[in-house]
Amino acid sequence: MSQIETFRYDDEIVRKFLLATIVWGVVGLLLGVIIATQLVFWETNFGPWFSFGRLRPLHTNAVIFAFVGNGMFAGIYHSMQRLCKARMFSDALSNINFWGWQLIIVAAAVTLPLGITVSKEYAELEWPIDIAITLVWVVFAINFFGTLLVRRERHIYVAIWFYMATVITVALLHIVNSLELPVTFLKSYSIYAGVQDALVQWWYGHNAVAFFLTTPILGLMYYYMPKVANRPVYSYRLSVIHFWALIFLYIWAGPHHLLYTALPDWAQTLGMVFSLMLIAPSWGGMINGLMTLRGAWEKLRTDPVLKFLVVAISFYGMSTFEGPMLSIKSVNALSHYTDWTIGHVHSGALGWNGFMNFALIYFLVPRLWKTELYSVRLATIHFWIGTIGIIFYIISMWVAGITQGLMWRAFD
Amino acid sequence: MYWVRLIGGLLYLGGIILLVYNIWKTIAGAEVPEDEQASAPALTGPKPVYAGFQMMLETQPIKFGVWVLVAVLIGGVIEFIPMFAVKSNIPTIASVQPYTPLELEGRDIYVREGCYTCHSQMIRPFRAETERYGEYSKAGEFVYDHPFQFGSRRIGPDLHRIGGKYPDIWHYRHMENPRSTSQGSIMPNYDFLLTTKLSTLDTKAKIKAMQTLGVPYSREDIENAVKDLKKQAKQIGDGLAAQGVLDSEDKEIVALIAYMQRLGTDIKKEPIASR
Repeated sequence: MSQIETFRYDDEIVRKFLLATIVWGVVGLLLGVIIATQLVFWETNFGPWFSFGRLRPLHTNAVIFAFVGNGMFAGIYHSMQRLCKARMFSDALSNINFWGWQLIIVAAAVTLPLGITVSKEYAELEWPIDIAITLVWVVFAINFFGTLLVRRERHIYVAIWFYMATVITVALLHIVNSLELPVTFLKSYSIYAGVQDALVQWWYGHNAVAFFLTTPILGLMYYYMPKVANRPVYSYRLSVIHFWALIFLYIWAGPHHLLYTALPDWAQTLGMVFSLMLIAPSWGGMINGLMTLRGAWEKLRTDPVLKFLVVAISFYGMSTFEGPMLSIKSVNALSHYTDWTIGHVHSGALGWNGFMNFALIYFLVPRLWKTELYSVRLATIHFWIGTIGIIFYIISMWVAGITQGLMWRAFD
Repeated sequence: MYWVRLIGGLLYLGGIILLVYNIWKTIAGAEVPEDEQASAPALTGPKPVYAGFQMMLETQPIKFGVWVLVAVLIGGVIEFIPMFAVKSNIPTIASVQPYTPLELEGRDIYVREGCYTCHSQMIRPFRAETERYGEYSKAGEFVYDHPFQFGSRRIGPDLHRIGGKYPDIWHYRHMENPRSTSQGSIMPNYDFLLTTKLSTLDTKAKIKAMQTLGVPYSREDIENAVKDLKKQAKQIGDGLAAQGVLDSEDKEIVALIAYMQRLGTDIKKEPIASR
């Protein structure tokens, strides 16, 4: 007969990460609107620190690493403790994770407008900040695995498998792609060159989408959807199959960013084929998430959190269909370099990632402050104007992108 | 369409502003509660027997992690090894040579300004592209590009074969105000490049770093880096002066022009014996 142990979950760290998520969300989205404005009115480029070329990476870093990143940490810290029935392994490590991450974001906000950049997408930050990211990530990994080792729940729930894939793979991707030879404190050169650098970059870039924007958020879906819907996950067997298939297949997809470039044909073909196969495990995740709502669909009418969750998962399904379509060489021949790619990115970013973050915030804040959400009506309005915003965004980019592709290939 | 996208983005931003207000009003009155208490028995007792490999993994986090690592390593290893070990994947083009110090400084300005966010440097083997931009881009042309700058977007044209397409004065005017050469352009003004002095403090270190990474610069190239840079810059500056632009040779614009004029030109050159 084993000892019953009483303990407390660390809720303060989750509150911190949630507030950071909201702050950086506003910053990242505001930057998006600024650079969108610069494309409509070139006069709103105020050089050198406020030009599109310098602000675009700040926008991408802010929305991916600051907005989604902090939301991911908030959700993981909240759900891990409860799934493990244990407080996080170390409060000190939790706080180093939090403050370290915020400092990295501030460093990005200072260096990128100053032109201190390596100009590799989603890996623009120069080498001292890359080292900081590695250190903070190691701290997170120790805290994460430490919690697993002191857990009081023997079984490791599916959400944790996805978090684990994130912890391990993001470390691998970041370290390998960021290998740079420093020239000065603020300048370095990638150790790779040309098409080899391109392959490494897009192995990283596509898998940043896979293991930073997808797997941890699927993990959050597996924890929060059943909680919000008050229903069990649809299928255990499906979760096993799609988890292993997803993390295995995704890695190969990088070359779909390099179709019809100077990258060797065999690599392009692998990228295309594995991207197409990826529809299956991606939709496995979507199906498992949506079907969890079986028998509880009418809750959608009244609960804004559920509205955000369901539409997020739907956009996930849409993006993970569009992506493989765009990975088909003949489709890519039209779409590459056009705004269709931008539209695709944003259906996933605004639809899946943004909405999952909003669901998380509206769900967790009342619980962590032991109160009621101030206004369900405002949250519902947020849902509707957000959804309409996404639709304006993606439709305009589809039209622009296909027009661009067709015009470029038009002959007299 | 960019207008419609902007409206979409504004709506989405409006949504998060509503969230900020809603959450602020939610938290404002509330007292921060104590950490939630829970209780559970410690994990003890004999290890259970598992109904299969997956079930076993679901109780062994370290083993699970190892298998995750194996799963995610395979694709990378299979794609990377041939790309790095099999030379024929990047056929050598004998006439391709490293950038001069001035061109390298110009390239670093290109990287600094994030030009790749609007311009690509990768011409695809389609007639529509070769008619517009010139010969399609070969892998062997990029062997000294640390980092690569293929780009993902063409808001502006592809630049891989821009070398020699326009005279230096065109680039000067274009950077000062893109609309002076290209009607309807939405490119920002880069007039600060015309007045900012090019720093050569790090030029020698940059060439040395490139050599460390395998770019075949000689010891003389490193020693003479700044001298060579100034010589090439003076040539460009003198040419611009003949067109009425004075005092340009020590400015950043000259480095960028040198880089632009080099892009994509090596395949037309005679192969040079290695320096």
